[in-house]
Parts: sequence; C-alpha cells; structure tokens
Amino acid sequence: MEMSGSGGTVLELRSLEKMFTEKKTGRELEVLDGIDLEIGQGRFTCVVGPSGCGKTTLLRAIGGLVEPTSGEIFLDGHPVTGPGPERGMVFQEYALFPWRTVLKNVTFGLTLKGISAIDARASAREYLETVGLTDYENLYPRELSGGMKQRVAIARTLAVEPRILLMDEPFASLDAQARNGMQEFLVELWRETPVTIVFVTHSVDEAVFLGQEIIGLSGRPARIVEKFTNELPYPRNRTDAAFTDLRARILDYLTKEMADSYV
Amino acid sequence: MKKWKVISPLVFIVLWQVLASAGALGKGVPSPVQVVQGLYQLTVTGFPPGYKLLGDILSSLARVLLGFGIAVVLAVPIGILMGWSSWFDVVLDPIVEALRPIPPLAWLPFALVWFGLGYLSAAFVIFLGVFFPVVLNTVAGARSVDPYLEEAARTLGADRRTILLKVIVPGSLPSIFTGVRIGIGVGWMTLVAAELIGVKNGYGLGYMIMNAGEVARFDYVVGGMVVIGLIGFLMDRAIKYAEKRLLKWR
Amino acid sequence: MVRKSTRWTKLALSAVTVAAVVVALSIPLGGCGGPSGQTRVVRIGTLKNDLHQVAFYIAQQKGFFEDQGLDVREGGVFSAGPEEMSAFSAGDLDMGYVGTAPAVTFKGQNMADVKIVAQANTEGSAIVVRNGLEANDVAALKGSTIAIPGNSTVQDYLLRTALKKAGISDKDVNIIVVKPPEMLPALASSQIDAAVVWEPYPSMIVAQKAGRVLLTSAKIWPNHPCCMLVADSTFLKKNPDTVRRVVAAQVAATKFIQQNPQESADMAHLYTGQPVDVARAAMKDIKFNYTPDEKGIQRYVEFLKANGVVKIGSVGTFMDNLMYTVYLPGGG
Repeated sequence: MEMSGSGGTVLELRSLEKMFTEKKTGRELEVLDGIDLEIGQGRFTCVVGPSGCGKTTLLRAIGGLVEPTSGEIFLDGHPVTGPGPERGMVFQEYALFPWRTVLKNVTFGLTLKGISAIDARASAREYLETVGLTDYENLYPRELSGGMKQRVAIARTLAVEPRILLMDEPFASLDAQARNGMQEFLVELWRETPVTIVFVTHSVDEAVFLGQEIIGLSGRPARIVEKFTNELPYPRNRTDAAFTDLRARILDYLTKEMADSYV
Repeated sequence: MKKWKVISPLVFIVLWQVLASAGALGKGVPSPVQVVQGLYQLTVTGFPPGYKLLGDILSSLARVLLGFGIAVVLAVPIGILMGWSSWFDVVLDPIVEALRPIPPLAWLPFALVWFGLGYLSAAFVIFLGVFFPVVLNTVAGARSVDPYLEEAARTLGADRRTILLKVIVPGSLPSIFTGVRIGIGVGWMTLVAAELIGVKNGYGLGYMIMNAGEVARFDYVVGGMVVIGLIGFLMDRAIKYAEKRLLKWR
Repeated sequence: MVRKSTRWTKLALSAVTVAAVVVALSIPLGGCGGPSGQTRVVRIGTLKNDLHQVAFYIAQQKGFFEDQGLDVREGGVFSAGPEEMSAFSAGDLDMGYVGTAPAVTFKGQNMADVKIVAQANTEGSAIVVRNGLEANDVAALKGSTIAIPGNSTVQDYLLRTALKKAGISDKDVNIIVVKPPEMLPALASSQIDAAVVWEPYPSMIVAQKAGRVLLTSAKIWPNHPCCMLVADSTFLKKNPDTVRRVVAAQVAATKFIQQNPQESADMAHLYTGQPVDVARAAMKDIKFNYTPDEKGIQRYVEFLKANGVVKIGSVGTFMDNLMYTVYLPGGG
C-alpha cells in the first residue's frame, strides 16, 4: 500500500463504463464511456459537465452505489465493489437521519465500526467542533438550516475517517450566501485535514473556487474531455484576473459541450 | 380555541338531556341523567346483578389489548419486510389483500371452533380488525423512507440488517403510529361484536350491552357505549402522547 | 312515448284494481257484525323458525284467520324477541307471537305497551348437556359452565329454579349467555357443559349428537309460560273486535294442533325447515295451550323485579295491565 500524504494515487478508474436500460422502452442507454482517472492523495478534484451528462453516476460508481458495466475502480490499489466507509459520501439532500440528534447522526458510522458508545461520542464531538456545531449536538436535523445540515453530514462522513470524500453537488440546495460560506468552510476544513476530495458540481464558479484539478466531462455518454489545473493559492479571490480567466476557459468548454449535446 | 374543547361536549350533553326529556329522541332513549344513574347501578350492582362494571371493563380491556398486542407484534415486522423487500411484497401482498376486505365478524364461527369461548376467540376477532390497518400503514411507512438515507447508511458501513433496524424501522415509525391509532379504534369497534358469541367469564362491555339491550335496559346500553367511547378516547390520547415522546424529531 | 303510455295505463289499471279490492273487502267486512270503523287488516309479527309459534302458520294454512274475516299481513319475521318488541315500539306491529321475557321486559321498561291476549305454548325448553359429561341430575352440574339464551329469560329462570330444587347455589355454576344457534357448536366442542334452550334446539342438538337432554322444562316447572300472543294496547283499544277474532283463530289453531299432532308436526317441519324427525321430537316437548297461567307469569315477573331487571312498582298492578284474556273461551 502506498503511503498516504506522499502524493501517491488514492483512487484509480480504468475504462469505466456504465449502461442503463430504460424501463419504458427497454433501450440501452450509455452513461459513462470509458473513464480513466487517477486521483492523488490529498488532492481536491472537481468534476463539471453539461447537466444530465453522468457526473453523479460517476461519483455514485466510485461510492459503490452504482455497479459499473465494465471497467475497474481501485482504492489504494485494491479493487472496490459496493459501498464502504473508506469512501465517504455527502449528498445534495444531506441524507441525515431525521430521528437522530446531530450527535447521534455523527456517531452512526462510528458505532458500526465497533467503537464503544463513549468513544464514539467523544470522537463525534471532535468532528462537530471541527465543523463548528458544538452547541447543536442535541438538536434534530429539522431544527437546523441547510448549511448546518450539510456540515453535520460532512462531520458524519469524516468521522469514519474515509480515504476519500465524495461530494455530490453538496451546496446546490443552499442560497447563494450560505453557499459561499460553505465553500470557504470546506476549503478550510480540507486544508486542515489530510482528506482527498472528489466534488461534483454544475457550478463552474464553485469548481474554480474549490478545485486543484477540474475534470470536464462531455455530454452523454460522458467522457473526460478536459482537465484543468488550478494552481491559484487558497483562499481564492473570485475577482482575481486568473480566477475569472480560468472560469471563462471552463465556461467556453462547457458551452461547446452543451451545444454538441443538443445537436 | 381551547375553550371550545370543553364547550362543545357540554352543549352536546345539554342538548341531549333537553331532547330526551322532551321525548324527542324516541321511546326508551335514555337521557344523560338516566345514563349516569345506569352507570352508577352498573358500578355497584352490575348487570346481571353481581357482574359489576369494573369486571366488564377489565375483561374487555384484556381482550382488546391481547388482540391488539398480537396484531401489532405481527403486523409491524410483516409490514416492514413487505415495504422494504420486493420479494416479501410479491409473496405476501396477494394474501393480505385477499384477506383484508373480509369483515372480522365473518370469522366468528371459526373463532369459536378454534379458540372456544375464552379470551382468545374475542381477541382473535379483534386481532383481525387491528392487523390490516397496521400492516398497510407500516408498508406505506417503510416505502416512504428516503432512499438517500439507505444509501448514506451503506456508505457509512451499514449492512442490510443494520439498515433494516436502524434506518427502515425508525423511518417507518410515524406511519406505524398512524396504523396503530386506526387499529385500536377498529379493535374497540369489533370488540362489541366479538363478545356477542358469548364470553366464558360472564364479563364484557359488549356482552353487557347485548344482554341489557335484550331486556330493554337502554340506560345500561348507552352507559356501556359511553364507557367504550371514553376508554377509546383515553387510549387514543395515550398513543398520541407516546407518539409525541417517541417522534419528537418530527 | 308509446311505451311510456303503456306503462301509465298499467299503473292506472293496477291502481283501480287495488282500489276495487279494498272497497270490495271493506264492504263485507264492515257488514260483518263488528263495530264500524274497526280495521280487519292486522300486522302480526313472529319469530323466525320458532316451533312455539307454529299455530300462526297453521292458522294461515288452514284458513282460521280468513274464517274470522281477517286480512292478516306478515308484520315481520324476527330473529329474536327483543327485535320484535322494538318493532312494537316503533309502531310497526299490531299483534305478535313473542316470548314472555321480551314482552314483559319491554313493557316493564315502558318501551312497548302490549297486552297478553292469549298463549301460544307452554313448556318446550330443556336442559341439554354435552357428550361425555357425567351428569344424571341437575345437582351434578355443580362447577360447570351453563349457557342460557339471555339474562332474565324464562330459560334463565328455569335454570335457577332447577338449581335451587337441586340444592345448589347459582354461585356454584358459571352461567353465561350464548345465542341458541351457537350453543350446538359450543356443546360439541365442550366450550360449555350444559345449555338451557327452547325447541327446536334441544332436538337439533340431540339429532346432531352434540349432546343429550338432561331435563325437560316440563319437569322443572310444569306448564310454565313460554310464547304469548300479544296485542298493541292502542290497537286493542281501537279494534277490540279484530283482536277478539285473532284470538279466536289462535284458539282454533291450538285446538287443531291438539287434535292432529301428526299433521301438525309435519307442518312444523315445513314451517321451520327442520328435518321431519327433529320437528316431531321437538313438537312432543311443546305443550300447545291457549290459556296463559297468570300465576306462573306473575312468578316470573317477580323474579325479574327482584333482579332489578324491570323497574316496576306493584307487581299486581303491572299484571292487571299486562293480562287481557277476556276473549279466550271462559275468559270473558
């Protein structure tokens, strides 16, 4: 196994393909068309592409929630099948257990690992402190704002110490202000913790603000058509010329892909 | 708003008294005052003499709780499995749907053959009344659990058993409570009829109502109705309270 | 249009026919010697499949009602006495064949104002015991579960009388109410040890080998009241002569049964749908006698009063108000 933190490869995708069968027509639908990708330890990777192209399917395949039709996925060199706590997922709709308090949402995965209730609570409290929700541990999800809910979800996922954090448009349901706040929060969190992140978004601005690598997918079936490297230092400034320049380049690619996919 | 909670039953009782006294409700329909007197006699003397109201209440309560308890204990797991696993649904749904429309009372003769005149035959009929609403609501509840929650649990390392117990079951609870509340109401509704075939110990609210009706003691009949209504109301409140405590996350 | 007019013609025709029949009927009836204004149409209620009331069927079949110039309509066939008494309360019946118990309790509760004008039968009930119960007399029933068809029924009273005679307290047995149709399966499955019930149930239970007769009611209380012929008080007041005629038909039918037991038993078989042997066996245990035993009924009323079932003042006054047997032979 490769050493973590040394910049080695955490995740590797080899010719990943996914076909769906349309229920109504029985027609085969190709969603992913030969995805090859390597993601290094501790990197922050964003995935963008035209809507409906298969971004989410790609992420869910990595997460083990969707079984690829062909191709392979390796985590730290080991092939993966099915979901597992070493690949933590954060969903757009938070997916918090509404009947569990904030604290108990975070301990959920911990107790499944066989950690004692006392240790799980102590560990969960640390993660809640990390996401700034120490005073909210006894509240239920319905009592929280959208941003707070997503922070609980992140804490819950980080608590099981995944090798990689898979985020599926996690801030898409938030209003613009909360969204900016969460982006800043995530960058800070990522810089403090050695976690690798794959972040799917339909917002180019968000991708440029967050990612070191920005993967551009084609329209369906999705292939990787662009790879942008973003060396801008954190925290990033949206009014920077380099920022707006990169954003414009990505938008150009995206406009072209969208035009192609509509033809 | 709150005062109407008290005013509306009071107006109902006063209106009832006035109409009954004026003879506007028909022959033999007792007034509230007569019902209270009847309830007093049922409490101290009983009907038939010696068989006092408390015994009727306890016996009926035992029958209802027995039938209700067995129904819930069976219906919840079955409903969860049907709502969660399509295999269970395919296997059990036709049976449940075929048995469901049969009125529980149609089973009375078999209840007697299978369970005799004891507590069990009445409990069986009540069971049939409670079982189906609880199953159907549980199925609906299990199906309504957000699939994202199941996926989140899987990515956190949960196996199928854990998902069932820690995601599907708690997620179904609100619907289960709805089913339980409907079920307990149906349980009391079937009780009176369930006791009509006879009860071995001579006690029962439905049994008393039937016997009093046959000798035209309608003050006892209405008294029994009032007691059933009151117990039903209290049980509903108790379930509501439990729901509030258990489901405070809602 | 053509079809419509045909229908209207038919309707008009049938209306005319009905009117003609009514007129034709009322003229001879009016001239039949009865005080003018009294109806000859009587709505009579009966109990379903009740052998005790076979006189009603026989009076219909043998034309005893027509002999009296009556137009008897079936007011309703009831599955239980209390329901029939409720029909009296609602004003849907003029007269009826009904058990003493519902008649007395409903009158006692002011639910229905009826008077007993004749008797349908006496006796005809029995204590039956399940197979395998080692009991040769009532005393042996100590500690057993005994079913009665209803609290405060004549059968309830018969059981308590039999127990008292045998020297056991009613606290030494478990008396419960089971509806007669359910008694047979309850006995067959040993849910109950014994039952007190009216015919044809004892004969059915014996025929289907679900039990045996321990004691007939004739041996508990000879000549005890059972089913009565009652009349609504208002109807009686308005149409005394009509009631007199119904009573006369009942007397004729009862005499017919007494004189033709074989034919009556066969008619009972037709009336109740019971097998011939069951009907014959049952008819043997029923005594058909049109004169009620007032003292017997009074004993029963006193039992009801003592049990707090009916809230009445003086039993004597109640009895005077209940009995109206002036139309019976030797009654007036």
